[in-house]
Amino acid sequence: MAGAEPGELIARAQAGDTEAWGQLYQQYAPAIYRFCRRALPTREDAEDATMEIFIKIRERLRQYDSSRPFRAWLYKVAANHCWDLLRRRRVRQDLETEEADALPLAHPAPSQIEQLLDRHTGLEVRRALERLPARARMALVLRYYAEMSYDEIAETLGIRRNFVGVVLLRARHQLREQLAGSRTPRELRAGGMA
Amino acid sequence: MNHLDELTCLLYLEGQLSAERSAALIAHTRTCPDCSALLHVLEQETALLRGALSETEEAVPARLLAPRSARATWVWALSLGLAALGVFALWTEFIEPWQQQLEQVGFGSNNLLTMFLFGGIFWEGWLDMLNLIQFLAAIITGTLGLVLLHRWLRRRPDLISTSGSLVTLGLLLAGLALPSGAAAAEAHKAETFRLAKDDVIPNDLVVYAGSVRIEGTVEGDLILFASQATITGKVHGDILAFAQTLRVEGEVGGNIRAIVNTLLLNGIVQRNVTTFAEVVTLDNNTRIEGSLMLFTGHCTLDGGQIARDVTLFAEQTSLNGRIGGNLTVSARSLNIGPEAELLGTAKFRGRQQPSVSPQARLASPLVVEIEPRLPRFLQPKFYLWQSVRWAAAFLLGAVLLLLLPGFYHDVQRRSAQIGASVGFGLLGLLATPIAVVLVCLTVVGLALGLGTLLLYAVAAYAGHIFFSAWLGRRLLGPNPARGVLLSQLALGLLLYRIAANLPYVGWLATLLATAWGFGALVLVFYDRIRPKPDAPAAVPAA
Repeated sequence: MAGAEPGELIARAQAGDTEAWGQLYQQYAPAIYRFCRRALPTREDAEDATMEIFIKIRERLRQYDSSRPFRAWLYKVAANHCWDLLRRRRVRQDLETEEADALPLAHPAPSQIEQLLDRHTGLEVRRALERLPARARMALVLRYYAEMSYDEIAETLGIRRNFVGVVLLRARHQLREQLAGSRTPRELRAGGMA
Repeated sequence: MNHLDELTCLLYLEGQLSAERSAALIAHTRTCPDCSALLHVLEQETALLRGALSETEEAVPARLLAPRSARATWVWALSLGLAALGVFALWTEFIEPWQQQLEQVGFGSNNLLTMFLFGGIFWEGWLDMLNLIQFLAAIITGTLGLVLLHRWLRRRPDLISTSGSLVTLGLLLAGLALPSGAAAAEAHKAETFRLAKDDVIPNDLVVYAGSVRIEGTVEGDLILFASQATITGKVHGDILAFAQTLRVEGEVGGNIRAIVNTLLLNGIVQRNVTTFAEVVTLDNNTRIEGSLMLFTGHCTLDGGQIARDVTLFAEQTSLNGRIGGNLTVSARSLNIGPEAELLGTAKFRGRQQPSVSPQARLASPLVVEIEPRLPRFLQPKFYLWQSVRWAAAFLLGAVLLLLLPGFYHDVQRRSAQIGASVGFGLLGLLATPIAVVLVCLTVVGLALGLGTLLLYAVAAYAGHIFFSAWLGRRLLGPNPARGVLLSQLALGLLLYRIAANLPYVGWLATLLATAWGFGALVLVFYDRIRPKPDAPAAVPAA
């Protein structure tokens, strides 16, 4: 994930150098596309969102504070954009009340979780992620792909900071449910999924 | 032994617990194998998640990585070139000649807005109502464009200072809108308004009412927004009217400019009459000392006198009065009755041979030009207008893309939801005019109704532009470069123009494209105005 900060390139792009902007785009478009691919439901959505995010980034490039990591700033813009899209698109079904009581504070059996994790590959996890509600998916992507802090996640999702852990844990529960209900690796291979 | 709950374990792993709580947790896990196992498995889960999310098994689409192609550049240049050509053609072929025509009939000395208002509709003739909608859309778009431009300039203090741009805009709008020698105005808003016979309004009078009756005297201009308006008194200035029916039986010292359904004239007008109306009837007692210019469906000059030129664009025209200047008629049919007296030249252009009564007195022979019945696809004019329409739509689309990129993309995104867009679009296209009519029936709602109608016209016109942009993107593939986005728009509009002109199904293509884009627009507006869900309640920190 980490990469050298192209300070000079950014400075040139901020000054209006289109060539520098082109290079920045080439350099970061794959990461932003992958972020969108993880956060949004379809490939087409991710393509569209990537383009739109770069349009926003270009417009706001002058506002970028070079003391912050550029990649983190990009992810912040991307996260806000994707979350905004998801919020607009959602038709209430995904607006969980998220009461604390709804989350079991139990001590789950570690062995069961371990078995579940052992049985599934990264691909299966990604497929299960796609089936999660928007907020759960977004929270996991922000934390474990974009490496955002709890403060940043809270700000992006519009929730209180204290609630971020609950959202993440619930997302993990939902992911486990999806994994438990999904086909076994053998069945997946037989189904032709590479 | 009490076990640790899962949330606490997760927060510890994520570094979110205080040092004190972390120490207590570590101490607990040393003596509790179950909790230690839970920590371990959660850590494993984190690693699995990180790994799964970071894997790059799926290639990034090539078009996202493709360098900006030369093709996009030349398509963009071609688009602008065509747009420039369209604007040039529009100016040289239509606006300029009409401007001269207008100056001849007395518009030269008036303010620029009037010039634009009445000159603008000549672009495509008035018989086609769609063009009127486009014209109204252009007015609104122009205003919006100025506002947006101002906002844009405000964000770029290096280009122009805020106060400078504000003052410039204000002066520009004021210069356009204010009549020369603007006077104080008196405004009235009521269900019915009547100016009694002996009453005198010393200023301009502005009336918003269902029914208006002017029996007294207005010493300034009279501006009317009304359903029924009758003027039997005297107006020293101009009459500017937007009404269902305007009946003038009194005396008007200035001009009459009206956009009405029916104009009935049976009085004296000291200067010129310019009207857009469905039906215009000039009765026996009519006397116009200036010129007459009409854009109308049915025009009947049933007697009366017009001192100067008469220019008519009409479906059916019947003349039976006295015309002191030249007569120019562009109509489907012309009937010159036995009482007609034409002192200047007379020119007719239309589809059918005019009918001229033998008793009619014409100072010079009527010059008749019958329009050839060539299929429209063989007429150069057809291609000229298609390119003009294409250029107008492209320019509006480009303005929207450059000034409101987020909105433009949102509409494109919504356009991808075909069912919702077309469904809402058709519903909106049908329901809005009905709602507007209902609102306009109440006097209070007249301004609201007219405002909605204008917005509706703009949105309906923009509908096909957004649809075309979406179509272009489907064909050329998504690409964030502005040049490519404009190329997509250009291509989409070109295809739309072709589809809209197909025989038999062209109307369907037009309706579908308009509804599609209109629906997407409505959905985006809905997205933006609907309340956002509240943030969930917080829970106590672990």
